[in-house]
Amino acid sequence: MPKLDQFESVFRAAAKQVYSEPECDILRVCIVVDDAGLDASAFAESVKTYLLGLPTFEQIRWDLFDAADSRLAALLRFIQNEKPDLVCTYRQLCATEQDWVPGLGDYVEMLTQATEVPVLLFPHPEHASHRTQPRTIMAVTDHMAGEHRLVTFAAKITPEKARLLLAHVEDDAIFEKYLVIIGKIADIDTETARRAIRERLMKEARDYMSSCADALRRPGLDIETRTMWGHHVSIYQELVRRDQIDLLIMNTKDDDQLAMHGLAYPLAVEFTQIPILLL
Amino acid sequence: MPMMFFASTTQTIHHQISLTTTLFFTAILVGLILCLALEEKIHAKKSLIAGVFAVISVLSAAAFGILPIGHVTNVFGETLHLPVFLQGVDWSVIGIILGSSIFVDVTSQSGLFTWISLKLTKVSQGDPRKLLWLYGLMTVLFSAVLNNVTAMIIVGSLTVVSLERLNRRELLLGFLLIEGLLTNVGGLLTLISSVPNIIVGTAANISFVTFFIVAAPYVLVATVMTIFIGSKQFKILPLETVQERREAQELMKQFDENDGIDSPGFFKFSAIMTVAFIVVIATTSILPWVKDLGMSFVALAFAVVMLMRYKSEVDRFYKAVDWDLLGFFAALFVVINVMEHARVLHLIGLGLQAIIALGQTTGSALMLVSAAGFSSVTDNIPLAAMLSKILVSLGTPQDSSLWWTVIFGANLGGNITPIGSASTLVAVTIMHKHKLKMSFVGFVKVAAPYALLQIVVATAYVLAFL
Repeated sequence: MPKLDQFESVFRAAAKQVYSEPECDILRVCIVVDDAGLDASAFAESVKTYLLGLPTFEQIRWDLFDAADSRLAALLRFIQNEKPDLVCTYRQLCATEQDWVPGLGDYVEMLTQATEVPVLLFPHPEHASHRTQPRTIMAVTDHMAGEHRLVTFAAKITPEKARLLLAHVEDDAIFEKYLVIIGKIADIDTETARRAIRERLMKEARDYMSSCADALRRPGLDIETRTMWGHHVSIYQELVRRDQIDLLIMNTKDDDQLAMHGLAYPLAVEFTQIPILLL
Repeated sequence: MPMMFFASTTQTIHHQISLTTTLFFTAILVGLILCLALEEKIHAKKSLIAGVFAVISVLSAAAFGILPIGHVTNVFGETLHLPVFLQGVDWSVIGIILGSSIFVDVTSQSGLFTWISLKLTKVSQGDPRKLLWLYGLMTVLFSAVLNNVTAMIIVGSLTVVSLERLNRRELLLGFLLIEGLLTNVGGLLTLISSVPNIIVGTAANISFVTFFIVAAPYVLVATVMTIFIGSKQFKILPLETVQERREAQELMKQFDENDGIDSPGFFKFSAIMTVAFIVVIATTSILPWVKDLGMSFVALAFAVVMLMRYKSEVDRFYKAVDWDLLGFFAALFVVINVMEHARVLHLIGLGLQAIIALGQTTGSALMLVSAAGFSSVTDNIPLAAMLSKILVSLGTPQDSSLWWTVIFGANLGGNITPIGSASTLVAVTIMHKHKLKMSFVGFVKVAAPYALLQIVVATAYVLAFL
C-alpha cells in the first residue's frame, strides 16, 4: 500500500522540530586554573570580561578552583558537588610542557566526559592572555534539528551587537557511502533517493534554524544560518576563517562511550587558537 | 442510465433457458462470490478472480448459446462493433471511478488534502477528544468527497503522526477503529462517495442532489452516534489541566501545514478545481450538454484538466490508478451480464420478490439487513451490481425505498468485519503496521455493536422517512 507510506511521510515531514528554550541559566561559574606561576586572578578577570555579555552576568557566583595541588578526582568531585552551570578553563590544564601533545589534556577531556557541566575552553594563557567579548560566535553540529540546548547556550553567550552563526554541515562522505548501498537496491530509485534525501536533510536543518531565529530574535542579536555539504573539519575551518569566528560551540557528549563523539574531538583539537564551548 | 440499446432489449428477447442451465450458471456465480470472500486465503487479487470467472462464464454462455451475439445499434441506427462480452460493462461506472481517482491523485500532489488535515489538527489544540471529533468529521467529509479508501489512508496516517507527537499512542487503536467505521458512514453521503452508491444510484437514476438530501440526515446522526460512543468506550477524554493544554498546544504548533505545498499557484488551482468538481458533479443532471454526457464524462474531463499540470509525466498517474479495482469491475459486469442472460438474476429476483412481498416494513427491513449481512463477508460491489440489475428488471420505481435499502445495507455491512470493506481493511492494515493487535474476531467483537446500531438506525430511517 504505497499511498499509506506516502501520506504518513508527508505528515511526518510537516511535524517539524521547532525550537523550544530549555532552562539553562548561567548563574554559577567555576574557573579552574592549574599553575600558581600563572596569574590566576588575571585569567579569572579575563574570563569575566569574556562573559560580560551574559544576561545573568550580574547574578553570577564565581568560584576559583586551583587544580595544581589537586588530583583529577578532587576536581571532578568539586564539580559534581558544587554543580556550577559553567566551567571555564584552558587547554593542557595541569599538563607539564613536555606532556603537551595535540589534544586537550587529560584533565579537560575528563571534565568534558565525566561531568554534565559545559566547559568553556580557552587557549592556554601562555599563548593568549588578553580577552575581549566574542564578536562572532558559531554553534556547529551535524544534526541541528532539535538541538535546543546547543542553540540556547549559543544565544545566551552571544553579547549584544555580536553575530551568532548556526552551522549545520552534512558529511558528504557518509552520504555517498549510503548512496552506494542504495544504488545496489533495485526497489529504490537511486537518483530520486539522492535528490530527496539531500533536500530533506538540508530542509530539516534550515526549518529548525529558522524557528530558532524567530524565537530568539531580539535587538542586537544577529542570527545567521549556514547549511552545507562537505567534509566536516575542512568546512568548519573554512567557516572559522571566513567569518572570523572567535567562539566555537559544539556538543561533545556521546551517549554510548566515555569519550567525545566523532565530530567534537577533531574540531576541539583543530581549533587551538579560539575559545571553544564544549557542551 | 445512458446505456446503449442492448440494455433494454436483453430482457425481452431471452431464449428459453432450462432450469438446469440456470442452476449451472448460479453455481458459477456462487463460486465467484465464495472466492471473493476467501480472497485473502487464496492470495489472489479481485481482478484476477473475477477475470477467471468472467472467462468461464462467457465461454459457457457461448457454448450454451445464450449470448446475444451480433451487432449493437445505437439511437441513430448506426451499427456498433462491440464484442458481446463487453456489452454488459457499465462504462459509466468505470469512467466515474477512473476519472475521480486520477483527479484525486493529481489534486493530492498539490498538498491540498494534507493542508486541510493539518489545519483541522491544529484547531484541536492537541486535545484528544476534540481531535477525535475533528478527525471523525474529516473522515466522513473525505469519504464523501474523495472515496473511503483514500479518506482512511489520509486520516489514518495523520492520526498515527499526531498521536505520536502528542505522546498519546495508547489511543491509536480507538481512533483508527472509529475512523474505519466512519469511512463507510461517510461513504453514504453522496452519489460518488462509494461504488455501490454509483452503481445503485445510476441504475435508479437518482440525482446527486437528491442522493445527498436523502442520505445527509442519516450520515449526521450515525457520525455523531459513532464518535460519541467511541469516545466513551475507548476513554478518549479531554485534557484537564492548563499545563496539559499548554503543552499539547505547543506540540500542535509544530505542524506546518504549508510544508507539503511546493507550488502555491497549483495549490490554489487544485482548491478551485475541487470545489468546481463537486459543484459540476452535483449539477450534472441539469447542466446543458453535460447532462447528456453524464458524470463519467465530468470525472474524466476534470482528470484531464488536472493532468495538464504534469503534462510530461502523466504516465506516473496512470501507474497509480487502481487497475485491480477497475479490472474487477469490468470482469464483474461481464459475469453479471452473463448471469442475466442465463436467468440467474431472474431466479434471485424471485427470492427478492418474496422478501418484498412481506410488506413495506418487513420486506424493506429484511432487504437492508440481508444486504448488510452479505456485504459483511464479501465484496459489496457484486451485491450492489446484482441487486440493482434485479430491481431494474422488476420495474422498481425510482422513488422506491428498496434502492435505499440496498445502498444502506451494502455500505454499512462493511463495518461488521474487517474484510467487509476496503477502508476497514486499510484501518486494520494501519493497526498492524503500528504493531497494534487486531484479529478478525477481535475486530468483529469491537466493531459489530457499532455496525448493528448503525444498521438498526438506518432501517428505522428508511422505514420512517423514505
